[in-house]
Amino acid sequence: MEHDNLEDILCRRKFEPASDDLAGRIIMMTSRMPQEYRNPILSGLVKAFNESFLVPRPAWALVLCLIIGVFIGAEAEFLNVLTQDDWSSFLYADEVWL
Amino acid sequence: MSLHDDKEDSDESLMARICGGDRQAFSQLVKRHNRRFYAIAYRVLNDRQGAEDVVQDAFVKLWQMPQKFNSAKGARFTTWFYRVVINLALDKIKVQKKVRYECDIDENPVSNTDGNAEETLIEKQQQEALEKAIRDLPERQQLALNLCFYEDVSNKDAAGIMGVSVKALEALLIRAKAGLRNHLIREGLLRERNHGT
Repeated sequence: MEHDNLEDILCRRKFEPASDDLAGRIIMMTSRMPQEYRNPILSGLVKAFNESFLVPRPAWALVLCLIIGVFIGAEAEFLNVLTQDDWSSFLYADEVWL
Repeated sequence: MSLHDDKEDSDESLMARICGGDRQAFSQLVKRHNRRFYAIAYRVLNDRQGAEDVVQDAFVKLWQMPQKFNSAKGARFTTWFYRVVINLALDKIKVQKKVRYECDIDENPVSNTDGNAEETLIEKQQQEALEKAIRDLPERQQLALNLCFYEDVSNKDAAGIMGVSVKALEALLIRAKAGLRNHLIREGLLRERNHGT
Protein backbone atom coordinates (compact mmCIF):
# COMPACT_ATOMS: atom_id res chain seq x y z
CA MET A 1 0.00 0.00 0.00
CA GLU A 2 1.75 3.13 -1.19
CA HIS A 3 1.10 6.68 -0.21
CA ASP A 4 1.84 9.91 -1.98
CA ASN A 5 2.21 12.10 1.07
CA LEU A 6 4.98 11.68 3.63
CA GLU A 7 3.03 13.52 6.28
CA ASP A 8 0.07 11.16 5.92
CA ILE A 9 2.37 8.28 6.75
CA LEU A 10 3.99 10.11 9.64
CA CYS A 11 0.58 10.86 11.14
CA ARG A 12 -0.16 7.14 11.29
CA ARG A 13 2.69 6.50 13.72
CA LYS A 14 1.59 4.47 16.72
CA PHE A 15 1.08 6.23 20.03
CA GLU A 16 0.01 4.72 23.33
CA PRO A 17 -1.52 7.21 25.77
CA ALA A 18 -0.32 7.31 29.35
CA SER A 19 -2.10 5.49 32.14
CA ASP A 20 -4.97 7.45 33.63
CA ASP A 21 -3.39 7.35 37.04
CA LEU A 22 0.10 8.57 36.06
CA ALA A 23 -0.31 11.97 37.69
CA GLY A 24 -1.81 10.41 40.81
CA ARG A 25 1.06 7.97 41.12
CA ILE A 26 3.64 10.71 40.82
CA ILE A 27 1.92 12.84 43.43
CA MET A 28 1.51 9.85 45.74
CA MET A 29 5.16 8.89 45.38
CA THR A 30 6.42 12.35 46.24
CA SER A 31 3.94 12.89 49.08
CA ARG A 32 6.33 11.19 51.51
CA MET A 33 9.54 12.53 50.03
CA PRO A 34 11.32 15.44 51.60
CA GLN A 35 12.92 18.10 49.50
CA GLU A 36 16.69 18.26 49.51
CA TYR A 37 17.85 21.35 51.26
CA ARG A 38 20.79 23.23 49.87
CA ASN A 39 22.28 26.35 51.33
CA PRO A 40 21.37 28.87 48.62
CA ILE A 41 24.37 31.11 49.30
CA LEU A 42 26.88 28.27 49.34
CA SER A 43 25.40 26.52 46.30
CA GLY A 44 25.35 29.86 44.47
CA LEU A 45 29.03 30.41 45.24
CA VAL A 46 29.95 26.92 44.09
CA LYS A 47 27.95 27.35 40.92
CA ALA A 48 29.57 30.73 40.20
CA PHE A 49 33.02 29.21 40.80
CA ASN A 50 32.36 26.34 38.40
CA GLU A 51 30.96 28.67 35.77
CA SER A 52 34.13 30.73 35.86
CA PHE A 53 35.94 27.79 34.27
CA LEU A 54 33.43 27.30 31.50
CA VAL A 55 34.74 28.36 28.12
CA PRO A 56 32.16 29.68 25.71
CA ARG A 57 32.32 27.92 22.37
CA PRO A 58 35.07 25.51 23.47
CA ALA A 59 35.75 24.27 19.94
CA TRP A 60 36.48 27.78 18.71
CA ALA A 61 38.61 28.48 21.79
CA LEU A 62 40.69 25.36 21.13
CA VAL A 63 41.21 26.24 17.46
CA LEU A 64 42.20 29.78 18.40
CA CYS A 65 44.70 28.49 20.96
CA LEU A 66 46.22 26.18 18.36
CA ILE A 67 46.54 29.00 15.85
CA ILE A 68 48.13 31.26 18.44
CA GLY A 69 50.45 28.44 19.49
CA VAL A 70 51.56 27.77 15.93
CA PHE A 71 52.12 31.46 15.40
CA ILE A 72 54.17 31.81 18.56
CA GLY A 73 56.15 28.71 17.68
CA ALA A 74 56.94 30.08 14.23
CA GLU A 75 57.84 33.51 15.56
CA ALA A 76 59.93 32.11 18.44
CA GLU A 77 62.68 31.11 16.01
CA PHE A 78 63.34 34.77 15.30
CA LEU A 79 63.04 35.78 18.94
CA ASN A 80 65.58 33.28 20.18
CA VAL A 81 68.67 35.30 21.12
CA LEU A 82 70.71 32.56 22.86
CA THR A 83 73.86 31.40 21.08
CA GLN A 84 75.42 27.99 21.30
CA ASP A 85 77.94 29.27 23.85
CA ASP A 86 75.29 30.89 25.97
CA TRP A 87 73.03 27.89 26.42
CA SER A 88 75.83 25.43 27.14
CA SER A 89 77.77 27.65 29.55
CA PHE A 90 75.77 26.43 32.56
CA LEU A 91 77.24 22.95 32.02
CA TYR A 92 80.65 24.07 33.17
CA ALA A 93 81.00 24.55 36.91
CA ASP A 94 83.45 26.95 38.45
CA GLU A 95 86.24 24.57 39.61
CA VAL A 96 88.60 27.14 41.16
CA TRP A 97 87.56 26.35 44.71
CA LEU A 98 88.25 22.65 44.12
CA MET B 1 0.83 25.06 20.98
CA SER B 2 1.57 27.72 23.58
CA LEU B 3 3.84 26.62 26.36
CA HIS B 4 2.66 29.33 28.67
CA ASP B 5 -0.77 29.66 30.27
CA ASP B 6 -1.69 33.18 31.37
CA LYS B 7 -5.05 32.41 32.92
CA GLU B 8 -3.97 30.14 35.77
CA ASP B 9 -0.90 30.36 37.96
CA SER B 10 2.05 30.37 35.65
CA ASP B 11 4.46 27.46 35.68
CA GLU B 12 7.21 29.73 36.95
CA SER B 13 5.11 30.96 39.88
CA LEU B 14 4.23 27.35 40.73
CA MET B 15 7.93 26.51 40.67
CA ALA B 16 8.64 29.35 43.08
CA ARG B 17 6.04 27.90 45.44
CA ILE B 18 7.47 24.40 45.03
CA CYS B 19 10.84 25.76 46.12
CA GLY B 20 9.07 26.73 49.32
CA GLY B 21 7.79 23.17 49.79
CA ASP B 22 4.26 23.76 48.48
CA ARG B 23 2.93 20.27 47.62
CA GLN B 24 -0.28 21.64 46.20
CA ALA B 25 1.67 23.68 43.66
CA PHE B 26 3.62 20.56 42.75
CA SER B 27 0.40 18.57 42.30
CA GLN B 28 -0.98 21.31 40.08
CA LEU B 29 2.14 21.27 37.94
CA VAL B 30 2.09 17.49 37.61
CA LYS B 31 -1.57 17.38 36.60
CA ARG B 32 -1.03 20.20 34.12
CA HIS B 33 1.98 18.74 32.33
CA ASN B 34 2.31 15.02 32.93
CA ARG B 35 0.73 13.99 29.62
CA ARG B 36 2.74 16.47 27.57
CA PHE B 37 6.05 15.21 28.91
CA TYR B 38 4.90 11.61 28.76
CA ALA B 39 4.25 12.13 25.04
CA ILE B 40 7.78 13.27 24.24
CA ALA B 41 9.26 10.53 26.42
CA TYR B 42 7.12 7.99 24.57
CA ARG B 43 8.26 9.30 21.21
CA VAL B 44 11.89 8.90 22.25
CA LEU B 45 11.52 5.50 23.89
CA ASN B 46 8.57 4.01 21.99
CA ASP B 47 7.66 2.24 25.20
CA ARG B 48 4.76 3.21 27.47
CA GLN B 49 6.16 1.83 30.70
CA GLY B 50 9.58 3.32 30.07
CA ALA B 51 8.07 6.69 29.24
CA GLU B 52 5.98 6.68 32.42
CA ASP B 53 9.07 5.78 34.46
CA VAL B 54 11.02 8.63 32.90
CA VAL B 55 8.30 11.18 33.58
CA GLN B 56 7.96 9.89 37.13
CA ASP B 57 11.73 10.16 37.71
CA ALA B 58 11.79 13.65 36.24
CA PHE B 59 9.02 14.92 38.48
CA VAL B 60 10.56 13.26 41.53
CA LYS B 61 13.85 15.02 40.80
CA LEU B 62 11.95 18.26 40.31
CA TRP B 63 10.28 17.88 43.72
CA GLN B 64 13.52 16.98 45.46
CA MET B 65 15.60 19.76 43.89
CA PRO B 66 13.35 22.49 42.50
CA GLN B 67 16.11 25.06 42.89
CA LYS B 68 17.77 23.58 39.81
CA PHE B 69 15.30 25.56 37.74
CA ASN B 70 16.51 29.12 37.52
CA SER B 71 13.74 31.39 36.34
CA ALA B 72 15.86 34.48 36.97
CA LYS B 73 17.57 34.00 33.61
CA GLY B 74 14.23 34.19 31.83
CA ALA B 75 14.02 30.48 31.19
CA ARG B 76 10.62 28.92 30.72
CA PHE B 77 9.73 25.96 32.89
CA THR B 78 8.51 23.86 29.95
CA THR B 79 11.65 24.47 27.91
CA TRP B 80 13.81 23.46 30.86
CA PHE B 81 11.71 20.44 31.81
CA TYR B 82 11.53 19.17 28.23
CA ARG B 83 15.35 19.03 28.35
CA VAL B 84 15.27 17.15 31.65
CA VAL B 85 12.79 14.58 30.36
CA ILE B 86 14.55 14.15 27.01
CA ASN B 87 17.93 13.67 28.69
CA LEU B 88 16.48 11.08 31.05
CA ALA B 89 14.86 9.26 28.13
CA LEU B 90 18.11 9.26 26.14
CA ASP B 91 20.01 8.01 29.19
CA LYS B 92 17.50 5.19 29.53
CA ILE B 93 18.10 4.19 25.91
CA LYS B 94 21.84 4.11 26.48
CA VAL B 95 21.40 1.95 29.56
CA GLN B 96 19.05 -0.45 27.85
CA LYS B 97 20.99 -0.39 24.55
CA LYS B 98 17.93 -1.56 22.83
CA VAL B 99 14.88 0.23 21.48
CA ARG B 100 11.76 -1.72 20.77
CA TYR B 101 10.03 -0.64 17.63
CA GLU B 102 8.13 -3.75 16.77
CA CYS B 103 4.41 -3.51 17.14
CA ASP B 104 2.82 -6.25 19.16
CA ILE B 105 -0.60 -6.67 17.76
CA ASP B 106 -1.87 -8.36 20.92
CA GLU B 107 -0.85 -5.52 23.22
CA ASN B 108 -1.51 -2.63 20.91
CA PRO B 109 -4.63 -3.06 18.86
CA VAL B 110 -4.54 -0.96 15.75
CA SER B 111 -7.37 1.32 14.74
CA ASN B 112 -8.70 -1.10 12.10
CA THR B 113 -11.69 -2.76 13.72
CA ASP B 114 -13.40 -4.49 10.84
CA GLY B 115 -11.55 -7.75 11.47
CA ASN B 116 -9.68 -7.83 8.18
CA ALA B 117 -6.54 -9.73 9.15
CA GLU B 118 -4.63 -8.91 6.01
CA GLU B 119 -5.13 -5.18 6.35
CA THR B 120 -4.18 -5.40 10.01
CA LEU B 121 -0.98 -7.19 9.12
CA ILE B 122 -0.15 -4.63 6.43
CA GLU B 123 -0.75 -1.80 8.86
CA LYS B 124 1.46 -3.51 11.42
CA GLN B 125 4.24 -3.87 8.87
CA GLN B 126 3.89 -0.23 7.88
CA GLN B 127 4.10 0.81 11.52
CA GLU B 128 7.27 -1.21 11.94
CA ALA B 129 8.81 0.18 8.78
CA LEU B 130 7.94 3.74 9.79
CA GLU B 131 9.30 3.30 13.29
CA LYS B 132 12.52 1.79 11.93
CA ALA B 133 12.88 4.65 9.48
CA ILE B 134 12.56 7.17 12.29
CA ARG B 135 14.98 5.23 14.55
CA ASP B 136 17.55 5.17 11.76
CA LEU B 137 17.64 8.97 11.70
CA PRO B 138 20.39 10.72 13.66
CA GLU B 139 19.34 11.49 17.22
CA ARG B 140 18.99 15.24 16.74
CA GLN B 141 16.86 14.83 13.65
CA GLN B 142 14.61 12.40 15.52
CA LEU B 143 14.28 14.85 18.37
CA ALA B 144 13.46 17.75 16.06
CA LEU B 145 10.83 15.64 14.31
CA ASN B 146 9.31 14.43 17.58
CA LEU B 147 9.10 17.93 19.04
CA CYS B 148 7.90 19.88 16.03
CA PHE B 149 5.83 17.37 14.07
CA TYR B 150 4.43 15.10 16.75
CA GLU B 151 4.28 17.34 19.80
CA ASP B 152 3.41 20.51 17.89
CA VAL B 153 6.06 22.56 19.66
CA SER B 154 6.88 25.79 17.85
CA ASN B 155 10.21 25.99 16.03
CA LYS B 156 11.38 28.69 18.40
CA ASP B 157 10.55 26.67 21.51
CA ALA B 158 11.98 23.48 20.04
CA ALA B 159 15.21 25.29 19.19
CA GLY B 160 15.39 26.50 22.79
CA ILE B 161 14.83 22.96 24.09
CA MET B 162 17.54 21.53 21.85
CA GLY B 163 19.93 24.41 22.40
CA VAL B 164 20.25 25.27 18.70
CA SER B 165 19.29 28.20 16.53
CA VAL B 166 15.95 28.22 14.74
CA LYS B 167 17.74 27.93 11.40
CA ALA B 168 19.66 24.90 12.63
CA LEU B 169 16.41 23.33 13.80
CA GLU B 170 14.74 23.96 10.45
CA ALA B 171 17.72 22.35 8.73
CA LEU B 172 17.37 19.31 11.00
CA LEU B 173 13.69 19.02 10.12
CA ILE B 174 14.37 19.27 6.40
CA ARG B 175 17.06 16.60 6.60
CA ALA B 176 14.84 14.39 8.75
CA LYS B 177 11.99 14.51 6.28
CA ALA B 178 14.31 13.95 3.34
CA GLY B 179 15.87 10.96 5.07
CA LEU B 180 12.47 9.52 5.91
CA ARG B 181 11.22 10.06 2.39
CA ASN B 182 14.17 8.17 0.90
CA HIS B 183 13.84 5.35 3.39
CA LEU B 184 10.11 4.94 2.87
CA ILE B 185 10.47 5.03 -0.92
CA ARG B 186 12.99 2.20 -0.65
CA GLU B 187 10.55 0.28 1.57
CA GLY B 188 7.82 0.81 -0.99
CA LEU B 189 5.62 2.73 1.39
CA LEU B 190 5.91 6.02 -0.44
CA ARG B 191 5.63 6.73 -4.10
CA GLU B 192 8.57 8.50 -5.60
CA ARG B 193 7.60 11.88 -6.90
CA ASN B 194 7.83 12.10 -10.66
CA HIS B 195 8.85 15.64 -11.41
CA GLY B 196 8.41 15.11 -15.11
CA THR B 197 4.63 14.63 -14.92
